[in-house]
Amino acid sequence: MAKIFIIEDDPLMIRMYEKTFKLSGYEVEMAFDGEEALSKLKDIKNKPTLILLDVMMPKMNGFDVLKGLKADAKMKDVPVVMLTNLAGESDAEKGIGMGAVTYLVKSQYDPKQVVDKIKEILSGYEKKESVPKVKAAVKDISK
Amino acid sequence: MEIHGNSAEKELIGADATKLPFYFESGLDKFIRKALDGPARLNDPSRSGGEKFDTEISFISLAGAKGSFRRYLGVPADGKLVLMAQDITEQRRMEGDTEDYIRRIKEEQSQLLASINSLPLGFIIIDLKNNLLIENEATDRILGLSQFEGADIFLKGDVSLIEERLKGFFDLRANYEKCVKEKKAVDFKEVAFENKFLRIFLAPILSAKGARQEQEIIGVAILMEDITEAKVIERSREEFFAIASHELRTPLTAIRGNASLIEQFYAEKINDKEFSQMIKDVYDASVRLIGIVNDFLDISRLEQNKMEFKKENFDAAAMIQEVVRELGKVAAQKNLYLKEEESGISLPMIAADKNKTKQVLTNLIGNAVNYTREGGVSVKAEKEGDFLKICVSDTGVGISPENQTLLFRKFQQAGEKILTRDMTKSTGLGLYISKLMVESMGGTIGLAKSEPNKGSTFCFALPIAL
Repeated sequence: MAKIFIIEDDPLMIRMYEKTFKLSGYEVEMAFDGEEALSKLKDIKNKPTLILLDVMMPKMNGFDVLKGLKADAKMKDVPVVMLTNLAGESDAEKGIGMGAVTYLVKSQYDPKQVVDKIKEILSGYEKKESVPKVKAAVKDISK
Repeated sequence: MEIHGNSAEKELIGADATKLPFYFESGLDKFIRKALDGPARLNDPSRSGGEKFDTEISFISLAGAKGSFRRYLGVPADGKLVLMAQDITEQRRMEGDTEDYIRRIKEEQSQLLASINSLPLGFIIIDLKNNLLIENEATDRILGLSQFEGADIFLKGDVSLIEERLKGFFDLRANYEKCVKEKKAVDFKEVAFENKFLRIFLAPILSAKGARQEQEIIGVAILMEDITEAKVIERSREEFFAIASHELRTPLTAIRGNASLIEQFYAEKINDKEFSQMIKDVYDASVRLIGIVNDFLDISRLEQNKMEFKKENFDAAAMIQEVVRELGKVAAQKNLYLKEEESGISLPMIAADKNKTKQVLTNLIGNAVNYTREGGVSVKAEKEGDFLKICVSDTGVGISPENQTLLFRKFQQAGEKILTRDMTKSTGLGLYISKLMVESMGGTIGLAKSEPNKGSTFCFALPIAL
């Protein structure tokens, strides 16, 4: 079963995405801020299939978490999807430039649509398509 | 005492000297008396200490009726008084003019200086030898220069004091030299200075335009504005929008998301039709509200020139297909067609921001679908000079001529007064946003034609990639 690791500080968002992914048949693990996420992922036994990452969070923002993940040899190949309500294109580009697979604005999608997008990304990975190609395709769809 | 003389003083000859109009006031009476009494030794009333002179007297008098001035020079000789007269009317007039002129210049100068000094802007003039020619009080205040306190606005010495003050924040000399060398003004919109933000503007001062001579730079004028306050307001506004963007969207996302979860995953638990309708209403309301928040944020960014526009070349045909495909479902829900008309040519690449262009086309098609009850919407693109024109036509309600002028304005849905506006369709901001976006990308947008109950055609044109 694919495991989604959600990094998100807002309880409303956590409950909503946790429920949606579980109802859609995914295993879900969570961290409530950036620091907690990095320390949890450091010692994780069962590596997540994909990480959903919020941007505006206390202690450590999403971009710094992303930097930490990409610097971690164990985690650097796990696809990261930025999921936020900051809707600036420069933010999206920054995230993708730093190695995120794509960038989704929460308010633009129903939670089920987010799951569908994740499913799409993961199937791309399963087909062993090259990462850049998937990136481009996903970026296109998300806009 | 009869006056003798030459013809130049005709009117005096033969007259009684004691009847001269200036006889008493001028002191002529005493003078004549003394002169006739013996050696003329007269007290000069203008000289203190009783110093004496013995020869001449001169006085100025109005002569005749024409308002002309004469200077008389009286020289005693052999018991007579030789009175010489000189017409000084012209000289007096010129003296008067010069006095007036100087007074006027002084007045103008003091007015000018007072205005320069009361300017809220720092104002400095430097000549080419680095002398500070003018430096006003606002400069002292902005830069916190106490050295110049109470000093005259003029000639405050060397500019190095100001250079020194700005050191580490702004290289005054380098920019001043650049300004002189390039003969053009330089504008620094935001210079951080200690805990302030300044705007510094340097402009070369050119000599007056001569017929033969080329204009030369004779100095540099520097304007300095304290923009700290404005900057703080701007920052808090930006922060407000970042917060609004995030903080408003998050709870709205939760409302939308949870309503959709109920509909998608718990539908079988809701047996009550009314209940399920209420959930649907909650969902629709949240989507609409998210749209409004997004519109407001778009507008504030566009109006403040804060929206980023990418410069990219993209395939117009593919972009149109994408939008038509995405909105096809919405049209189908209303039993309307949405089709792309063949243009007969292969469409060129457009030089603009692809996402913003999609947003504009989405808005036009969305409006067309909203205002159409039967029939449908068609999209057509064609080349027009260096532009690609994309038109969206519908078979909808149309817009009456008087309402057509109200389109593309902020909060203006044509045909509806404020209290009767149809808010279920949109905020009416879409066309306004589209206009700002298209214009920011160097294009144009407008209503091509519209007829009530027949339909409307809206077009926008964007530059073709070279």
